Amino acid sequence: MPSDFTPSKLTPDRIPCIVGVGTTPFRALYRDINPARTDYDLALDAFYVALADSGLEKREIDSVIVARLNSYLKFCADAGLEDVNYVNFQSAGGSQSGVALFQAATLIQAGQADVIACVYGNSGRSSQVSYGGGAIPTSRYDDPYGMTSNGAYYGMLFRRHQHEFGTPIEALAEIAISNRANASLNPNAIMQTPITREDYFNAPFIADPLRRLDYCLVNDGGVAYIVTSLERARDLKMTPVRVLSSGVSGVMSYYYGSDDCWFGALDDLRGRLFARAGVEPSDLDFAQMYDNFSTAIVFALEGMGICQRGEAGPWLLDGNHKRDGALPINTAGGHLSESYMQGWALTVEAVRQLRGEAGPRQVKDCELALDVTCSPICSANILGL
Amino acid sequence: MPGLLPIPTEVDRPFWEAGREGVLRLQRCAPCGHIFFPPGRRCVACGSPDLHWTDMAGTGEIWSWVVMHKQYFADMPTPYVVLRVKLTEGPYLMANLVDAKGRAPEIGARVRVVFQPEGDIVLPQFTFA
Ligand SMILES: [Zn+2]
Repeated sequence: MPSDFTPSKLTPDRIPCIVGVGTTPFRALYRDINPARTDYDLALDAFYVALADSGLEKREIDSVIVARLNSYLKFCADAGLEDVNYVNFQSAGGSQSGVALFQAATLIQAGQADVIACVYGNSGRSSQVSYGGGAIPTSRYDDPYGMTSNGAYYGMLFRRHQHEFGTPIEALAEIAISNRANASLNPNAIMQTPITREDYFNAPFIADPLRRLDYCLVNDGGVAYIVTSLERARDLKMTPVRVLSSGVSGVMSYYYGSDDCWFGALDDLRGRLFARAGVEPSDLDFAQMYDNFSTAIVFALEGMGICQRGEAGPWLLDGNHKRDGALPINTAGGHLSESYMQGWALTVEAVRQLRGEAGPRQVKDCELALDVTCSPICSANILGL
Repeated sequence: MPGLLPIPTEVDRPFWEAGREGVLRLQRCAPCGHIFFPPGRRCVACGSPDLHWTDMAGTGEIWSWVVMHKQYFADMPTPYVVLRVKLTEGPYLMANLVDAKGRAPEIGARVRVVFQPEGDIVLPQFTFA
């Protein structure tokens, strides 16, 4: 497949590295609704945090990838990035965060860019954006039946997974509980109060089988990171986090979903991804998994070969995903408890963990992480020191 | 109890008109025989524009389902069931489960199409076969 690269085939100098990360205060923003706040404001805030973190001069940035910001012109002009080479825009989709890193890493590897700013801004909570509804090709045929929410599509997929593999609903409860436990150690997380199974089952259904605590927390926020080559990264103050392997695998369907819960796409991606990084799923120290809904983690676990197909339920009930488990997942609380930043903050948390900056939630001695998105565009990046 | 009702277009008007006749009618590709939904101008399999509106058996099985508890439409009180039906001919349709007579939906259950007038259109719905 052409859509991957392998650092091992590169001159080591061109290995892509994340050298600066930035996020906005998600918790404070959640409590401060402001309709005047824009995606651009938030993206710009995160950009300057990431730039300072990297130690690079702004004039060294030669490429920019913006997500959710309709005008890349406006962002670049606002940021004083007038003289750049490659600029690209990603739509406001949650399928895109891993693709942004894939794109940046590929440009660095190819020698087409030297320093890339990847920037995301989302004022969704203040602007009361609604996700789903009209976003998929079959919307006009689904809307008459009151079938308008992305969560409902995920609910259908999860019920199918239950039918085929006997996956217990308690597996979803364990994801929500673990995300919240991780968030309780993250001062920037929106929801920090630990929850129990009782809390999970007492929360109302939204789209049965899914309950409120299966759903992400729509919020305002910005996220940014800077990607450069290992050659350039060597002189910088921060420990570079290497992108060891990167890949994408799409499932383009009329419906929001995939009949096999994306297993085929993820399995194909997994084979290429791990082979090219020269590692195994069992080598991973932790993982960041896209969780617009808890169910996405069930699908990603199986597709990434972390457990066998159909075994995610028992794997989760055994607590393997918890902080002290075999593979801690969503160490900052994920979309369910930290903030829904459409995958972007998950990537930044991976970098902070690998750099040993995660404070009370730090995973001990971690060197290798997986950042995976299970969605119509499945993407995954293996990050390491 | 409709959600948001569509205004038929040049492409899908025959689908909605068929409902008035009590028939589920989808496009079938003349050269390759592929039957697909939603309606389009070209076959999604082979690209041919030579498509013929063809009567379906109106039968299928429940592929999966949800019960919507959050109210999205004023005219549509919750809870209500949404089915994803796999038609005998292959394509999927969403629908509500109607006239269930207290029977809970289950994956694999056989269903058949029924038609309900809603506003200016007639909606295909499904009930247990
Ligand atoms: Zn055809």
